[in-house]
Amino acid sequence: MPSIRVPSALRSFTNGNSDIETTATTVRDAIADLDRRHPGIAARVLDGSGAVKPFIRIFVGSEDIGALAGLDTKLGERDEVAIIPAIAGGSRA
Amino acid sequence: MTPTRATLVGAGGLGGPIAIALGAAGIELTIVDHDVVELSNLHRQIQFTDADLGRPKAARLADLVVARGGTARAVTARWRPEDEEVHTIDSDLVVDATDDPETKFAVADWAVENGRQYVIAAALRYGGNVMAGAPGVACYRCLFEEPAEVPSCADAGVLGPVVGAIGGLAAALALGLVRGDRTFAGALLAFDDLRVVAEPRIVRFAPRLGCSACARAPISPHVTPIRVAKGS
Repeated sequence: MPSIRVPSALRSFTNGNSDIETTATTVRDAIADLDRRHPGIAARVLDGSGAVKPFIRIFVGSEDIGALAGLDTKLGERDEVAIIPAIAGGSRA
Repeated sequence: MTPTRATLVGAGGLGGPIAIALGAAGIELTIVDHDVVELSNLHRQIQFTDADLGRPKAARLADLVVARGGTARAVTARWRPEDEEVHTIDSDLVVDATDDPETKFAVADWAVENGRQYVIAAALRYGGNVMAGAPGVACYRCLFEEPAEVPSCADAGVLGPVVGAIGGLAAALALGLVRGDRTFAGALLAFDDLRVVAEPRIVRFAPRLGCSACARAPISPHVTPIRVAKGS
């Protein structure tokens, strides 16, 4: 079953869980499934038009979905969807 | 041989290990940071002590690099692209260790537009990510497109040792770049939770069509060099 790797910045939506299994067959459906179970999380990943927000990248395995079929990228049984947001921790310089 | 010069933007938790490692490797550093050391910094900015409270971070960190035999100068100011003629123009490499999204994009854009190698590092909570950039590969703006309101250490917290680990990795990637190792150029190394998994997810990404930084780059990642056979 495919899984979604939730970044630590969004785990407040998933009760701290980092890996969520899904029966979805595309990345788009996986995010919708995630949002059904953890309401509000999709709005942190997708913009109002349903596109991935510019400071977030989504990978299936190590492949950027932008180089695949975007949100319509199909998921295999063992695929892991990773949501990677920009983070800015460091020094106030 | 002329020493490699690098500009380090940010002298905090990430900047500390980066400066000490690069300085010890013989890289001449310019350290840029406008901030002063505060008590709340000490758990993650372990290069500083109580004695440094209230002192400029850039100057104090430069002192430490010099005390270890390195070469460093401090600039106590915010790094701004319009000041690059003073702070950064002589640098072969730029490393961002700030917690400000705008600065990260500005540093990366400047490096791309001026054909320099760069490293962008960030740590938050239990993880972080590091991107290595070089001319001719997809850039930080190809990856994340534009600055956004994202949590900072001040907002979301960070585990002190995580910052040191991410800073150490950033230094290692920077040293790789200056010796010509482009293994990770154009890649993001993302650590989700260093308490659990110490292995990064290494993701590579394609240049983004329409990237405003790449459009001004001396070597576009969108252009495949045409090889011309000798004698033709």
